[in-house]
Amino acid sequence: MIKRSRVIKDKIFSHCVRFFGFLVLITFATIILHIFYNAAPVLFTPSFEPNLKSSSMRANIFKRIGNEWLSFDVNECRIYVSRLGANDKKTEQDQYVVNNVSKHCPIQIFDVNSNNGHFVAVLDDTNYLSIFDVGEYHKVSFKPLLRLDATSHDLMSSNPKLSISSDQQQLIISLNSSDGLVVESFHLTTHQSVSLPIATSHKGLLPMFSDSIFVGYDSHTIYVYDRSVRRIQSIDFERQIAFVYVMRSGRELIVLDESGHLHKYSIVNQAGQFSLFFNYRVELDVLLTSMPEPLASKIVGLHDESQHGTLLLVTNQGNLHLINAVSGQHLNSHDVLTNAQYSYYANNSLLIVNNQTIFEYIASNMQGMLTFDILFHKQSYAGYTEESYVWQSAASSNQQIAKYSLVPLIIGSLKASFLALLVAVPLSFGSAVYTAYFAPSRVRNIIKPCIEMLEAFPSVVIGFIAVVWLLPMTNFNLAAILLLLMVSPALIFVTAFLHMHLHRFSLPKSLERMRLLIAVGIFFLFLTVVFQVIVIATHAITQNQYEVLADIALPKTAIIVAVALGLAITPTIYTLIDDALYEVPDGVKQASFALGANDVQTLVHVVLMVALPSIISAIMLGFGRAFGETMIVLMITGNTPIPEWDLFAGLRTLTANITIEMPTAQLDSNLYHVLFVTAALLFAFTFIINTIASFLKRRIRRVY
Amino acid sequence: MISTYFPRLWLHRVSLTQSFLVVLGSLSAAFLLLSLLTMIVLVTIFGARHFLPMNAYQVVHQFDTQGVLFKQLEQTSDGSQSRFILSYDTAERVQAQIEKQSQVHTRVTSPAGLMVITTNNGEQMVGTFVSLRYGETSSQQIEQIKRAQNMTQQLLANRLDIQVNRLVPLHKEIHQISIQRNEINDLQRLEQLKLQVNYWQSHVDVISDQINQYTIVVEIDNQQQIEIKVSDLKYFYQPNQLSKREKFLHVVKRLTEFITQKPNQSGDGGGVFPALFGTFLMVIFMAIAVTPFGAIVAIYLHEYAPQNKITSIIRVCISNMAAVPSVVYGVFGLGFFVYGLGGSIDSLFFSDSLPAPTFGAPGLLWASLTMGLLTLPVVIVSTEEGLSRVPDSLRLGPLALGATKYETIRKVVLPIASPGILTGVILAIARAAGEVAPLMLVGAVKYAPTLPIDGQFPFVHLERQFMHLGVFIYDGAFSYSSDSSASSIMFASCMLLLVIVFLLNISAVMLRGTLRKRYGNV
Repeated sequence: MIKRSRVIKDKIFSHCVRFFGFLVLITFATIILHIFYNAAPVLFTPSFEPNLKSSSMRANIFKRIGNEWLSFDVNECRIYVSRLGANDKKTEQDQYVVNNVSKHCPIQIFDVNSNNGHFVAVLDDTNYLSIFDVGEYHKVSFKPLLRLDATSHDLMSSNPKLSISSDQQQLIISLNSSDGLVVESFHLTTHQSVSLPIATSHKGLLPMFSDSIFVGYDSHTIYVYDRSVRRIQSIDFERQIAFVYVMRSGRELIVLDESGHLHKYSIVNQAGQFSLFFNYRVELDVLLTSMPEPLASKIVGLHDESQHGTLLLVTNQGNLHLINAVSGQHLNSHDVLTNAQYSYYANNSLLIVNNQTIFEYIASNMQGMLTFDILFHKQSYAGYTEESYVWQSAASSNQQIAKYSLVPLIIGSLKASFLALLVAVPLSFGSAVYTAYFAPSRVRNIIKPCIEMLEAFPSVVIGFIAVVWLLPMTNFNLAAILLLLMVSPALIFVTAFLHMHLHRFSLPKSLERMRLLIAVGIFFLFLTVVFQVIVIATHAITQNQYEVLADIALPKTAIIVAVALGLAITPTIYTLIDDALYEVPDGVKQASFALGANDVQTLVHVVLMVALPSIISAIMLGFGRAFGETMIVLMITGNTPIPEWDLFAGLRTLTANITIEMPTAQLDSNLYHVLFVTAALLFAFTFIINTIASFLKRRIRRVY
Repeated sequence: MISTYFPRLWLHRVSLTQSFLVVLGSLSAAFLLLSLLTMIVLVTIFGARHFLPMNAYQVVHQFDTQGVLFKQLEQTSDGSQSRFILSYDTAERVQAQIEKQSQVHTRVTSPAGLMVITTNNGEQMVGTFVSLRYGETSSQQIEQIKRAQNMTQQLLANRLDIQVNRLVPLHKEIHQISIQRNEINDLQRLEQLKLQVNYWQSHVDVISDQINQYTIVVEIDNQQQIEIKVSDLKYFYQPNQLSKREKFLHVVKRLTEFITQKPNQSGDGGGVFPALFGTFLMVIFMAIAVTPFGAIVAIYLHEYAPQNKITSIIRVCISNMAAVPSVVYGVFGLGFFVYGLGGSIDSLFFSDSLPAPTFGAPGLLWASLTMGLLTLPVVIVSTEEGLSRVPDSLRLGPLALGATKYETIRKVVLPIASPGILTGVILAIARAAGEVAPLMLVGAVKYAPTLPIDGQFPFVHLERQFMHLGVFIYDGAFSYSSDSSASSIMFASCMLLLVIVFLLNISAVMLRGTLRKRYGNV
């Protein structure tokens, strides 16, 4: 009779063991799920969810200060600042009355466009314009930055557009007076005002590119002016221009025409000459639902944000359209507040105002802006004159959209793996054929473990040696190495001849078994001699070797990637091919010999044929290994993401990219999710390679 | 006719093709072996140089009278310029190299008296010893430096003693009183204390003064004379007149420094102790995590698992886990362990220190767990191989005698298969020691100011970032300069890493061999 406790222990142990067996499954599932879960937001559709509703405040100027929306209004000689509740769901109207800012009675408030800072302009009863930085409204020292004499203009009735330049040097006021557009520029420090000489037929003038360019437009044409208001370009449109918008980066211009086409232009610097370059044109049918009304009167506002690269178009029919600013794809539309009059956007929050209510909408799933097109197709980026694949995760300024094209990275990975295979496949195949087929098992037992020892080499050490020793060495003797590569086939042939003839002579007993060693030794002796001769010759010819190197320095990185990465993956391929060749059943070989085939014929027509699936699977696994290798490519290549198939051009691989970018990626940022997409790609790639390889292997097992 | 002629022709033709194939194959094998050998030899030679004393040379550049060629170099009145260098090469080679580079006539000599000085802040100087000074007195005898060093050591010890045992308690008391001073008594006591502080402080000043009076004067490049405080001397030696024994001692000294010291700021001296220690800790924690997990999974797969779909799925999972690129594990570790688990631990237990993360940032624990996942397949496969080498008769015996399956496994199977488990763990450790890419994402840094284990409660700081030998080498490759001393510490680290990895691998192979020998190839 077994003791009960022993049975219980046995039961517990078996459950425990089973649990751990399934834990592996769970772990693997967790890895897959986590990686794909973090890559998935890219697939979602970006949208805007309603968040806050508030009954209308009379105000129509809203600024996002800190984490809340503030409205500004003047009434009875006072400036009212109201807060749209941000923390609690119910709208809370905190009113601040600011009346100590001016001795004069404010009568109207204007919004001031600016890239940095929150500015409003207040017109007082003396017809002076005061500019305020309302970010500091709650401070005791809240005072106008400056007051400008605006008596010469009728600001009250002409619906002026004000903007402050990004260097905060000048204020530009566009006025629609009775005789057309008048544009005044106030210098903020000298208080001088200059009237900009543009045609009065213009409907508006917008500063671009840190105010080094002005864009004016009338009904059918866009005019580009330089800093001194000389016209440098004009672009004609077939249909009437409905809406013109300069994106926050200041480098991109959006034009909507009456046919519902959205055009994007960006500033390109060609040899110091700025011009607007056409990026794309997309048709927005959705805008043309009710024809009689002109489009111009339907558009309430156009906004853009650079973090995700979104364009938001708000119409007075209560539609919000989300457009990808880089590719021009129309991604989503929402029904929002109808009869909207104003819309404001800042920090993922969109405010839409009509005369009764204010609605706040919060962006969600904005990672969805990274569409398949953005990641894998050519895009017309701002500042580029042609469509291209660009990976540039750190934009040069905050307002620019980061460029996340994965194509250069995938090309880089493929290029590096291909280079490595170029070296690894012949080497490992040759060695494996030798050790598994020709060599006596005594030799195989020495060579095989040695080559497999290469596998234990940490890749960082291989990378280090390649960078510190191989690179300078190659740099110094590049010409010699290239020449040597050309000479070596002849040398190999000579050695083969030598080896054959060595078999003809009767050698002393002690040397009989060393024929091959002698041949190989002589080969390397030749090689060294030839190499030295070439080195001396090239150095003598060129005197100063660095001059020549400047011309042929290009392929050196490619050579080193090929050699270093090739050496790193060789043991993987070698071991598998060697095992495959060795495991070919003896019966098959003997049958071939019995039919009169010699060694070479048996090898080529029988052994290699039988082992072919295994050889292919070995090469595939080596490819997978090279594709996933990080440190060597990270250390050797320049890590420049260039989308070219040219093997000698620079490259950055997917793996190196993760190591470079991941430490700087913020949690839940676009970059973070894009990097998870690349990790998922790597994962899927190795998964596929592995599956195919094991399928091939299983097939050969089944046949033999 | 044909039958006698044909075989020769036939043999001849085939023999060339065969020779060609054999030569090609053996050449590629030879190339692989050669490159392996080259890498090992290279690392060994350059790494070993880090420990060997270099010879010191005096190089005198002879300028042409105008000095046109090398205007930027400072010249002395006689048209020559001298400097001191350290090199492993002989004087002739150094001379040849310099003349090749600068095309100016040089004279390289190796005077016996040249001295190499390393200061406490990591600076290294070569020059000739001029004199040892103490205040106004000076001595030309080099042996005196040792005595002066001993003196300064003693003085430093004295000063430290006063500072720790006298001044610190006094200052503490003053601090206490100044916080809660309310009575006249206290004020008097305060005055008293201040007098005492002044007294001891003056002692300290005197000692410091004495220490600072011990200086040596050394002539360095261009007959420049500089004064170095004896207390700043880390060590000095005269490489050109070292005896065999002294050379050996020098090597030992450098070796111990390399193993036990922190890296220098300049990166050319010091040691790799924090990196070694970090690597060691990381693999220990990893082994603690991965060994039981891997072993039990292997037991499940080999002893318990039925032959069905689920088992084959588990096997597919394991083989895929082995093939996933290591950097993907890094990404997973960062997302799941650091931000996921670490973030929730922070919000549960360390919410008062948020938003500064405690466990929600890359650290030792997460690195160990990530590497544990990475090496899990290695342990499983190796343990399973160990289990499969246990003959079935050894399982059936205990079962027939009435033992339960658990008892059979624990008392019979596992002890026999334990070399297999050990092999797996050793291979896993070797893998983790050489891996870099995932570690850079989950906690290994190029320089960590503190060790993960120190005297501060709770003594083991799993959340801290740590240094890793591989990351250290990776970083070294980028800060590499042609300066030979800077590269050699990196080569020395490479050598250390290679030695560790190879020792681990060889011991794994040997362990596996004993298992195979004991129970044959099953």
